[in-house]
Amino acid sequence: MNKDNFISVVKDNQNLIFKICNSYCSNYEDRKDLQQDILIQLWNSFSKFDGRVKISTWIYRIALNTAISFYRKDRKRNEKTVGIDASVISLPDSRPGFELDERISLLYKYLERLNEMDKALILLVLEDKSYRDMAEILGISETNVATKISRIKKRIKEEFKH
Amino acid sequence: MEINELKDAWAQYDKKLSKVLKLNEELLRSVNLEKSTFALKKPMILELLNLVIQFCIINIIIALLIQLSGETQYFITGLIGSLMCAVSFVFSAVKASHFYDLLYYDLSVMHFQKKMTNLRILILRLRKIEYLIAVIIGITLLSLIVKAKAGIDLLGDLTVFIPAVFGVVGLGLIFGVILNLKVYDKSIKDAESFLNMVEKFGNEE
Repeated sequence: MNKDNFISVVKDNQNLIFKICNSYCSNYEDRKDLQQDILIQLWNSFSKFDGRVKISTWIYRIALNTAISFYRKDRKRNEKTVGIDASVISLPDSRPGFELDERISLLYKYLERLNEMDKALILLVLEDKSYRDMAEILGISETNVATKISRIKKRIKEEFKH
Repeated sequence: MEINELKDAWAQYDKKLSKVLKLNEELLRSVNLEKSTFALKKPMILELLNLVIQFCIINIIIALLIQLSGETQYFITGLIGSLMCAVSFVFSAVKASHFYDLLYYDLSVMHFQKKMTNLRILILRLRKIEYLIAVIIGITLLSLIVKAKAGIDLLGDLTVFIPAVFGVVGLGLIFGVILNLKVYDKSIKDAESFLNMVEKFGNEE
C-alpha cells in the first residue's frame, strides 16, 4: 500500500482511532504515543489485509490489540517510536462549539475503571457494532457476546442510574 | 440511564468529532513509516542473531573439544557446555518463531492477547534458566580456551578452579534469586492473572 492510500484509510477511520486512544489513556502524552503505535501497526499490517472483513472491523482489531498491549506495557515503548512529536489526529486548539457532553465525560471516567477486555467490549457496543462484528473483533462466540451485552446493560443501568 | 441513551450520546459525540477532528497529513507523510517495520521486527531479529552467535559458540566448543579429546575432564566440560548451548539455541528458536507469529496485530483481540501473554510468560520463565546456562557456557569456554591456547590447566588445578566456580555460581545464584523475586516472579504473576482474565472473558457463555 502506498502512503496516499494509507493516509486516506486513516482519515476515514480517524474518529475510531481517536476514541480508542481516549478510552485507554487518560493523559495526553500516553494518548499521543498510543496513537503513534496504532498508526505504525496499521501501516505494517496493511499488507496482510485481505478484504475478508470490513476495513473498520480490521482496524478495530489492530487498534484494540495495540491499545491493550500498550496499556499493559507488553513492549518497550521507546524502542518502536519513529519520532512523531505531536498528535497526528487531534482536536484543533480552538474548537468553537465543541463541548464534551457530560454523559461522555462520565462514560470515559467509567471506562477508566474497567479492565482492558470489558473496555473493548463496551466500546464496540457504543459503536453499535453487530454481534457478528463484535464476535469477529474479539474472537468470542456470538452467544458469548449476547451474554456479555445483557450483563453490560445491567451494569451500565446501575452505574448511570443517577 | 439506559444503554441506548449512551449509544445516542456516543453517536452525537462521533458526529461532532467528524466535524472538528484534524488529521495532520503533513506530519504523517513526513514520518518514515518504513523505518518502523525494522523496529517492530527487532525482538525477532535479536533472537535470530542470538541463534547465529550460539551456533558459532557450539562450533568453537566442539573444535576445542576435539583438540582436547584426550583429557577426560575437558571432554566432559566441553560436552556439558555444548549441550547447554544447544538448549539455549532451542530457546532462541522457539522465541523467534513466537515473535514472528505476533509480528502483525490482526488477530482477534482474545487470541492475540492470549498469545502475547503466553509469550511474555515463556520469555520470563526461560530468562531464569538462561542466566544459569550463560554462566555454565562462560565457564566452559574460559577453561577450554585457556587450556587450548595458553596451556593453563584450569580444571586440573582444582585449588583455583573450585573457588572460582563457586564464586561465580554463588554470585550468580544470589543475583538470580533477587532478580527473580523482584522482577520475574512478580511479572509472571501479573501476566498469569491477565491471562486468566482473558480466558475467563472468552469462556463465559
